[in-house]
Formats: sequence, C-alpha cells, structure tokens
Amino acid sequence: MNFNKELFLELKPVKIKFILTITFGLLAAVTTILLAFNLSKIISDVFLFNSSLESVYPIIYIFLSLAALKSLLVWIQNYFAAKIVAYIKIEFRRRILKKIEAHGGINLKSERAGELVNTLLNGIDKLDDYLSKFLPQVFLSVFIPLLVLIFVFPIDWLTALVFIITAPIIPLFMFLIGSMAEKLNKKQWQTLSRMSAYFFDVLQGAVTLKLFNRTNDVLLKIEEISETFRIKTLKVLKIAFLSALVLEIAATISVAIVAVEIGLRLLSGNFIFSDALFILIIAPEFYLPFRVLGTSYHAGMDGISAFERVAEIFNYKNSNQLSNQTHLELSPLSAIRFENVSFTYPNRTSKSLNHISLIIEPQKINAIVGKSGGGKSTLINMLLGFLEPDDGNIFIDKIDFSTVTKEKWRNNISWLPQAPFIYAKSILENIKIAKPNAAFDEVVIAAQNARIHNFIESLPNAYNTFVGENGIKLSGGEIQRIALARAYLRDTPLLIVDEPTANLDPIVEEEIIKDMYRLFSNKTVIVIAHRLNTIINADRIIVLDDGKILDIGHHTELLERNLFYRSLVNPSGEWS
Amino acid sequence: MIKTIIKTISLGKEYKYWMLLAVLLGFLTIGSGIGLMMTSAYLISKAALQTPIYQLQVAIVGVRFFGISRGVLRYSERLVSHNVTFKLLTNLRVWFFRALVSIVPSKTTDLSSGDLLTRSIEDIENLEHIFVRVISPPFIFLSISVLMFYLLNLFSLNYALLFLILFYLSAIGIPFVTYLMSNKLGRKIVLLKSRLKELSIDTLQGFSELAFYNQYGSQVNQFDILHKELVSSETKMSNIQSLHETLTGLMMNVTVILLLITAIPDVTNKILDGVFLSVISIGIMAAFEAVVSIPQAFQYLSKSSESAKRLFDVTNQEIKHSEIPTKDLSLIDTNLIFSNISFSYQKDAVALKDVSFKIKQGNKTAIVGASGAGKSTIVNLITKLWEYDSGDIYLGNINYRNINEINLRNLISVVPQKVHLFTGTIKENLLIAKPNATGNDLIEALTKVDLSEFVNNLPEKLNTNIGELGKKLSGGESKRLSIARALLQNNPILIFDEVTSHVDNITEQNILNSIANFSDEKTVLFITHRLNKMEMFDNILVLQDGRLIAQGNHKELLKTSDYYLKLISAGNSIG
Repeated sequence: MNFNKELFLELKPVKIKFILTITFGLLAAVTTILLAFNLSKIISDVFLFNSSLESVYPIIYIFLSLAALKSLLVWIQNYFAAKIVAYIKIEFRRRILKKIEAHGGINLKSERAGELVNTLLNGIDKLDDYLSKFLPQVFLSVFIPLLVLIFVFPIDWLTALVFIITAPIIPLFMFLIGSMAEKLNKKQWQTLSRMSAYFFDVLQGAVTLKLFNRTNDVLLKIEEISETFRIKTLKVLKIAFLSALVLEIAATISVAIVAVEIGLRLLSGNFIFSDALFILIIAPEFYLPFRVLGTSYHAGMDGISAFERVAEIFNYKNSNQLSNQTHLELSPLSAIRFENVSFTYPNRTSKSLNHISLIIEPQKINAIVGKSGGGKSTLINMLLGFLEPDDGNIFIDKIDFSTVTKEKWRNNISWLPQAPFIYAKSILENIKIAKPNAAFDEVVIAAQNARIHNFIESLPNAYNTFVGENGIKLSGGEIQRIALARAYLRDTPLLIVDEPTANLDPIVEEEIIKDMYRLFSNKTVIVIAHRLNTIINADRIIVLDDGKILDIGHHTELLERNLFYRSLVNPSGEWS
Repeated sequence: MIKTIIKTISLGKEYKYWMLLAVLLGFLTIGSGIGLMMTSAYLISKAALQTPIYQLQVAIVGVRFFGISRGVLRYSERLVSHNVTFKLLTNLRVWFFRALVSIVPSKTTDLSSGDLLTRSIEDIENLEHIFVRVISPPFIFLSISVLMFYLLNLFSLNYALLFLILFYLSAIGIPFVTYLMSNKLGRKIVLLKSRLKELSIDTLQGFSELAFYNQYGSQVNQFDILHKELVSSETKMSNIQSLHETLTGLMMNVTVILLLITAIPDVTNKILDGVFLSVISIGIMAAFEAVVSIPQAFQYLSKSSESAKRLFDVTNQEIKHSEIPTKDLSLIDTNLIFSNISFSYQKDAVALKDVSFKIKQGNKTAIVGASGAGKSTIVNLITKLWEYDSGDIYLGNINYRNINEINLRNLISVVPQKVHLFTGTIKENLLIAKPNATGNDLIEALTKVDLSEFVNNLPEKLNTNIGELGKKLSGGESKRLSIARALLQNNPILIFDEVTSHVDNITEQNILNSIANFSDEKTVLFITHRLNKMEMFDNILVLQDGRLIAQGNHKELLKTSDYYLKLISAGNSIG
C-alpha cells in the first residue's frame, strides 16, 4: 500500500539520516513508555500508599525531564526527516533540469513547458509529506507496537495476548478494506480529475458560452456533475472509512477489554495497581502508530502519484549526442550543403525531411517557403544544431557537419526565432544573453541599430528596466526589436530567421524586417518566409512540401513554372 | 484573514446544520475517548480498593459503551464532514463560474489565461478542505474545553481553571509563539517560491534560446542557488513547525503533572478521593486529542485565506448588469448603427473614440486596421460583452440600452478570434450553438464550411472525440468547426473576428470563399488585419488608434486612403 520501491531506493544516499529518523522515533517511544511508568507510579504512591507531595517530587522531576527529553527526541526525529526532504528536493529538481537538457528540450511546446514547471515545483513539493511523515511512519508502525509489547509482556502476558491478537486484525482489515476501497478510489480519482477538467474547460470557454447564451445550462451542469460526484464519493468513503472504523473499534475495545479484565483481576487481589494503570495508559500508544499511518494515507497517495510523473521524466531517453570535436570557424563565403538528408521525429511515422539535397549560397538571402508541417523548421533546427539527420550528411564547405561541436558552431550564427523569448531580467541582460561578455557600449550600439535604443532610454530605469513575467510587458514589435539587437550584437556570418506569423502590427513588422535586411546585407541569410515582400527580395527561394524540395529559384520564375508555389503565394490569383 | 474565511464559509451557509452536526459528532468522538479513559481509570482504581463487583457494574457498562461508541461516532463524523466538504465545493464552483462569466472578457486582467484559471482551480481545491481542517477543529476544541471544565469543576474549581489556562495556552499560546518565529520566514519562502517559479518558466519556456546561446547551464546554476536558499528556508520552517508539535506534547505532560501537584495535597488532606487522581490525569491526556489538529488549522488558515483572497479578487469584479425586460426582437430589421461611440477599458486608455458608422442589413462589412486599433472592441460592444461609455448603438431603431443581452445574442453569432472548442465530440461542440439541432442541421452546417467530408472520413464521424480543447484538430479545422457552430445558430447577424489569422493562405482562401457564398441574406461583419480579397465586401471600415479614419469599398479606399494602401502592401503574406 502506497509504498514505492523505486522512490525508497532513491533514499540510499541519505540512508543514515533515514535510520536516524526511525531510531529517534523509537527512542521517543521508549520515553513515552517510561513516562507512563512514572505517572502510574506517582498516582499509585499517593492513592494507595498515602505518599505526600514532597515524597513523590523526585518522581515528578524525573517525569518532567523525561517529558522534555521526549520532545527533544521527537524534534530531532523531525529534524532528520526534514534533512531527507531537503536532499530529495535538491537532487530531484537538479536531475529533472539536467534530463530536460539531455533529452533535447527544443521540442518543448509552451503548454508542455507549463506542465513541466508544475512538476518541477509543485510535484516535488508533494513528496514532502510522503518522505517526512508517511514513509518513516510505515516503519514506526511496525517497531513501536513491538516495543510496547516488550514492556507489557513481562508485566502482564494476558494483556500482551490481547494486543497480539488484535494487532494483526488491524492491518488485515485495513488491507482487505483498503484494497477494496483502493479500486473504487482510483475510479473516483478519475471522475474527480474528469470533473476538474470539465470545470477548467467551461471556465476557459466562458466567453463562448456567454455568446451562445448557454451559461445557465452550464451552471446547472456543474451543479449536477458535482452532486453526482458527491453521492458517488460518499459511497466510496462509506467503505474506505470502514478501515478507520475497524481500527478505532479495535483500539477502543481492546482498551475496554484490558480495563475490565485487569479490573477484575485487581478485585481478586492478584494484580498491582500501578502496573494496571501503566497498561491502561500505554494501551492507546500501542494503537497510535496505526492511526497515524491511516491519517497520512492521502499524503502517501499524493506522494506516489507525484513521484510517478517525476519518474517518467527521469526515464526520458537522452537524445543521441554524437562525439563531435571539430571546431569550425565559418567564413562569410562558406557554403552549406545538404546531401540526401532525412529526418523523422520520434513517435511519428511520416518523414519530416525526405532525402533533401540543397545548397545554401553564401552572402545571399535564401528563403524557405511551404505549408506548415512541410519541414521548414526541421531544416533550420538542424543548422542550429538542435537536431541531427537520421540519414544523409550536411557539409560546411568540405567539413562533415556531424563532426562539428555544436556549442562552438552556434557562435557562427545569429538567430531570430518566430516568437523570441523575453526573460524575467533587465533589458540589458536580455540583450546580453546573445553575447554575455559584451561591453555596455556594444549593447547600446546593437540597440541603436535595432532602433530600440530610444524606447529603452524612455523607460524608468533605461537599460536596467526589468521586463518579462513580472516586469514591464513589451509589445510584439518591441520584442522583435530586442531579438534583432541580440542578433546584431553577435555579428556573425550567418543569420537564421523564422519570420513571425503572430498578430504583429503589419506596418511595424514591415519596418522591422526592412531594418533586418539592412543590418545583415552582406551576410548569409536563411529565412523561413511568411511575407510576400520577403520572397520578392530573396535571392533564391526553396520550396518545401511534405519534406521534399519541390523547386528552387527566383520569385518570378517560380511564379511562372510552379503551380504549388503559385497557389501558396497567391491562391486567389489577384497579384499576378 | 478571519473575515475572508467567514466570507468563504458563508458560501455554504445553507448547510449550516450539517456543519453543526459534524462539529457535534467530532466533539462526541473525542468526548467518548475521554469517557472511555476516565471510566477505565475509575474502574481499575476502584477495583484496586477491592470494591464489591456490583458497585463496578456501572463503570464496566460505561467502558463498554464508550469503547464502541467512539468508533461509530468517528465514522459518522468523517462521513458528515466530507459531505459538507463536497457540498461546499459544489457551491464554490458554481459561485466562481457565475462571477467569472459576468466579467469575461476583461481587458484589465486576462481572465481566460490558462495560468490564472489553473491557479483559481487550485485555490478552489485548497478551500475544499476548509471546513474539515480550518473551521471544525477550533469548534471541537472549544466544546471539549467546556466539557473538561465541567468535569473538573465537579472536583474543584481550581482544577478546572488551572486546566483551562494550560489547555488554551497549548492551543493558542504555542501557535502564537511559533507564528511569531516563522512569520518572517514564511514571507521569505513565498517570495523565493515566486522567484523560483519565474526562473523555471524562463528556463523551460525559453529553453531553445538558452540552449542556442549556451546559457542553459548558467541559468540552471542560478536556479540552483535560489533553490538551495529556498530549501534551507523550508527546512528551517519545518523545524519550527515541528517545534510546535513537540511543544504541544510537552504541554500535555506539563498539564497533567501540574494538576497532579495541585491535587495530591488534596488527597493527602482527604479533600479529594484518591480514586480520582488517575481519572483526572488520564482524562486530561485524552482531552489533548482536541489540540492535535489545531496547529494544522493554523497552517491551513493562512493558506486558505490567501486562496480565498485571490478568488475574491476575481469575483469582486463581478458586474451586475441592470436587468432589462425581455422583448421579442425577431421582427425588427437588423441595421446596426454606431453613433458617436466612445469607450475605454481602463482610464486614460481610449479604445474607441467617437466612432460612427452604419451596417446595413444583408451587407458584408469588413473592419480593418493594425492590432490594437479597436477592431475587437467593436465586437465586444456589439455583442454587449461590454457597455459603451458614451454615444448610442441602435439595432433596427431600438437603442441598445433597452435591449436585453440574452435576446440580443439570439440574433448575433460570433466566430471569436480565439476559438474555444470544448473537450468532447464534434457533435457536442456543435450542439452548444443549438441544443435541439437535428443530425441534418449539423451536416448542413459542416457542409457549408467544407468539413462534412472530413468528418465523414473519421471513424466515428460526428461522435469523434476532438481531445482536450479540440487539440486533435488542426488550426484550420478548428476554425472551420467554429464557423460551422456559428452558422448552425442561423442568426441574422454574423461576426467573424480574425478568423483568417494563423491559418495558411489556402485555408484562408477557402474560408473567405465560403463566407462570400453562404450568407447572401445575412449581415456579415468581418474583422481582419490581413487584407486579402477585400473587393468582396460592400463596405470597409478602416480603424487607426480607436478612430474610424476612412470607409468605403475596396476601389474607393485604394484611391482615398493612404493608410489603407499601406496596410495592403505591408500585410501581404504567404504560406
């Protein structure tokens, strides 16, 4: 029940801390027993032997010291548990971040990124209670009852017998009822998550529902679904809580049996009162660990399901990193050649690139056009060093690209992604990310060339203004210009551009693109083109469809000879 | 903090008797625990004095009774309190949805953003346990303290008072001390957490560029530094919380021993029967069960009130529209007139300024302009999602201010810029527009948008599940499904808000062709920043910075508006 071997094995490096957690838990239990012993002694002395307060003071002092000691022991127990939690958090989060890099996070879509952030932060937090409360308790609920038995047995074997008989009943019933409830429970979790999904769905679609005059229907439906859920869940709980009921009844009835049985033996005079009282005080302690385990059931369940998601990430395959050592300095005149290159994304059947051969001409604008999903991004991701061909080769001049160190290779490229990312940092840092050792003056010159300098200067803290998530929100055009400044700062022979398709103000966008070509006029440019003006100005246009090259040429000649190109550029035929 | 909690719990005030019952059962559960231990102690103490067995019968029955009743009571208490929990959850959901619907779409906060909604749902789930964890424990504690006061007062007022002081010190004093100790740390943790979240979003969403610039490693290092600081603060916090727990345990033992110290001289002086020494001590130990759940209540209190506060921040924006009597609008003509309309979402940010135009019944009108020019605002005003500030809108010749929004929306169909498809089947998504539509209606609507063949080729046809938010469909397919949904309503006015953005040229062309063909007798309003096939429109409104700067048909505008020309030449796009 709720015990995950894989997660438990993760504790190996902190096993001493784990053993200490359990040990101090047990020591605390020993003091609990001694406390009960002392208390019954005090009461018995006063009650039966008429001892005065003064004469029992020594025992009272012992009692108080033991009480303080117990608190200390419990605190130390929790202290080590907290250490374990801290270790796991740091270790797991580090490993997730490493795994994302090794797996090749380039394929992260933004909604997947959101889910990963959630697992990285909230998911790992959910392990907290599992590790610090549930897991030690699993062990303690075996050891503490044993410990109590060891003390009780010499005093009264009959009571020990009652404990021994009732103890297995509890786990047995918990297991029987638990496994019955667990199935129902799993189903119930599914309904719950489906209900949450429905709720999330209608919240997101609130405007749509409003426009269709359907909000009242949905309100009724939310009520109806929640109500059905409540009734069904209560049915499950009626069974699930039975385990708690059995536990509670077993515990209380045993106490009752022990009390009556001891009471009767006291009557006949063959039992000592202080022993009787001791047993009465300690009896609930015998059952307490089981009860605590029962209450941390949910912590256990949450922890396990959170870990399952984390383990999934741990098991991601690493993307194959070839051993590549060649350092390549790209010269402005280098030609890039694709020879028979193919690529298929994992978990997909159709080839994203299908035996592509082409040459990227130096110091020209090489435009790539095609429908979405035609293979344009795949091609660019290879040049950026994010993907390796499954088949075929890429040559830079005469050097085989697969032997090139990609980290160093990227220093040859400036990249303008379709949706540049703005980090929650200052504007200066956001631009400098392209060249971390750049001097401030260089950054300013880049910003001036990208025509964003004046805007930055107008901000309250100029270049030190905080942008991104919680800072100043930049408009789409401003973001593009920051990206342009980044590209300019690198001053590389090769520029790779993925033109924006988002709702940029068309007039602003036009200006930005003009600036871009002005700044990179004698460099090699590869551009995924979405705009007519871009391809009209391109030196050559590569037409991609379904992973194959359909044609390469100038705008005018392609328009003349290529049907696909014509329908792509001009489906209605109005600009011919 | 307390106010927010009261406000939250009052959302379930119709279940107040259930709540009372749950608290009562919780009280009785701990009460029988106390009863069991006290009668047991009494039994063995009396037995130790060799009391005749018939005098012990009552105690024996008591022990048996409490032994059984405690389990049963605990069981019923858990069922009842969970029942309250789920009922409260239902109310929370209904309440939040109702409020949210009234304020979307809002420009001040992006209410439809997944982040905000996910957080809201998490907040609602945090509040789910507010009754069991926050509300009920203090009340149970309170009633147990009264019970113990009564019981101890049977022996001596001194015992009762001493106990009460120590009992409250454990439940309130200790949490207060640890609160003071952890207050600053708690705020630090919240701050660090939000910074770490920000950094994680940067690291994962901005992964490609970090990898490209070889900066992922240094970003991860930053994460590591911040994370270590967070974890060490969290560890400190957990140590403080465990101090809380251990101090409560210590207080129990101290309470027992202090009462014994007070009571022992009474026994010596024969004021108190020695039998009761064990009864009192063991009773006190049992009573501390009511204190155990108090620390948790404190922890959840601040968490719950933060969640509640965030939800109230959203729902407090709820707009109560004045109720306009329903009127039959089916016979009026659908000429739409904007007369000197001005509107702003927020102060100082004018969205529309003095805009006047007329959309004739049966005409096809386009609204063009750069993003932020006010195009979508016009849609929000026409559909009455927002009330305009000044000027007048007329439908037929009825002033908009006299038209009930429900009636109005039965005349207008909108294909929004951000298509929202619901998780479910194609059929379910279409029926949202017209719940009583027949199969033929659905197919007809799909045919008009060239989707019928696509749907027919699916294995389960109309009953095909389109996945979470329709993600299994391509962008073009979901746009077309959304158009079909609008057409199914068969309303006289159709509004298309940026339906051609984010689709490739061929899809765009298909969509434009369908619009040109199907709606001869319909009034069409077409909003776009991509100026393709403009000659199909009877009238084009050109917006710039919230003002209407030109209008006319394509040919006229080419001659009269430079801005229009600029929009045309800049916006041409391919693929």
